[in-house]
Amino acid sequence: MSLKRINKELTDLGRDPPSSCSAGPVGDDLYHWQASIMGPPDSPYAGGVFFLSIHFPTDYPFKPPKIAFTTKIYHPNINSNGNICLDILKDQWSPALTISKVLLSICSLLTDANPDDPLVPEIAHIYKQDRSKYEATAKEWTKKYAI
Amino acid sequence: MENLTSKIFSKFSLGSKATQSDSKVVKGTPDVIAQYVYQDILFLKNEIKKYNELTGIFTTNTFYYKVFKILEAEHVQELHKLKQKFEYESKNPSFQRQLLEMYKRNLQDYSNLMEIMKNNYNHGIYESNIVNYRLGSLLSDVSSTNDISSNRNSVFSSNVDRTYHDDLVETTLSNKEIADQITTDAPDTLLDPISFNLFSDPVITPSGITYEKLHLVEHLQKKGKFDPLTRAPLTESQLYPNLLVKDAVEDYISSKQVSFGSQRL
Repeated sequence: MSLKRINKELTDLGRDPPSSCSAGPVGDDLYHWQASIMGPPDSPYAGGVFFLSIHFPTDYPFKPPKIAFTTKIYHPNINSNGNICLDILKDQWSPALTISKVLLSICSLLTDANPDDPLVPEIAHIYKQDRSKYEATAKEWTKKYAI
Repeated sequence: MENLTSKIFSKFSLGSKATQSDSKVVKGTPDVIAQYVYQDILFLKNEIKKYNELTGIFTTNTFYYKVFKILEAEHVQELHKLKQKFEYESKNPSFQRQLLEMYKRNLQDYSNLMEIMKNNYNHGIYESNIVNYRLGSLLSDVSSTNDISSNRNSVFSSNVDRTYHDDLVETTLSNKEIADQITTDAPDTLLDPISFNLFSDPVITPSGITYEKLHLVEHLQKKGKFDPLTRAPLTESQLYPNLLVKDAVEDYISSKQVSFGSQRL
């Protein structure tokens, strides 16, 4: 079932693409995709294009896809390996979710970080204590790695 | 290949014997002539079996064997019906005339089968393709109508050649394409939110969301006891079939098939 569903998601992405992101298979392997997210305009990531890798498990959609940033990003919920701390990618996964919905959730995570459940406590601390410092660093990283 | 086939046929002198009953002058009442025709039938059936031994294309699981068996069964049935019709009065002249006609048709069947086997033997690589395809349509023809003789033309008299095979392959492919197209074009409301396939056994949850039962149960077992879309607590015992959606899917599929059918005409 997973392959058929992945195929359908791909068709739907082509037919009705989300405004700020794109996704598709890397090569012939439909279980391995690459996605890109445009930094949201109202965030320090504006102007940047962030790439992500997506790996579908064979029992998708009963297990969540493995998604990680391949572009470096300064964010309290994303670590230096690109791993993302997002509940719907872990215990809150639901088979009714799609790659498109997950990518949109990641977009809103970029706008609204969740410092209370951080993956990188140092960044979360700065985010809470000195918001302008966090924004400056995030902008700097975006310029350096994502533009 | 060509030479072997012609050798086999010259050896059996197929056709000449089968048509003898037409060309040779046989005098007598219909029941006497019927005896001659029946002998020809037996002869031809034997020829077909011998042909199989030489070519090996007529083993127990081939299309030809099945057609042969279907013909045999059909002829027995036909004879039985005819006898019933005349209340087993074998001396009735009308029965004898009709019996003769029936035997002639039976003979023609076997002769057509032999002809098809001969044609197909020359390019047996297509055999498995047409076997599957044609057996399907043949069986449905036989079961769907009593007047088998009217289908006989479409099934047996077709000139079996390479072009015909190609047509068959193309038809099979386009049927698959149509099936895919039906799912691709389907409105999202008729698709299971988990598998994204058309519903076949839709169930509704207390939240009012409809899922394909098989996949929702798998989710409840693998992931957790909650509704995938609303996350409300959910157990298998709370599910009810959604018959309206099931009907809607069936209506949608049949409407699609009709439109695809008219497109091809």
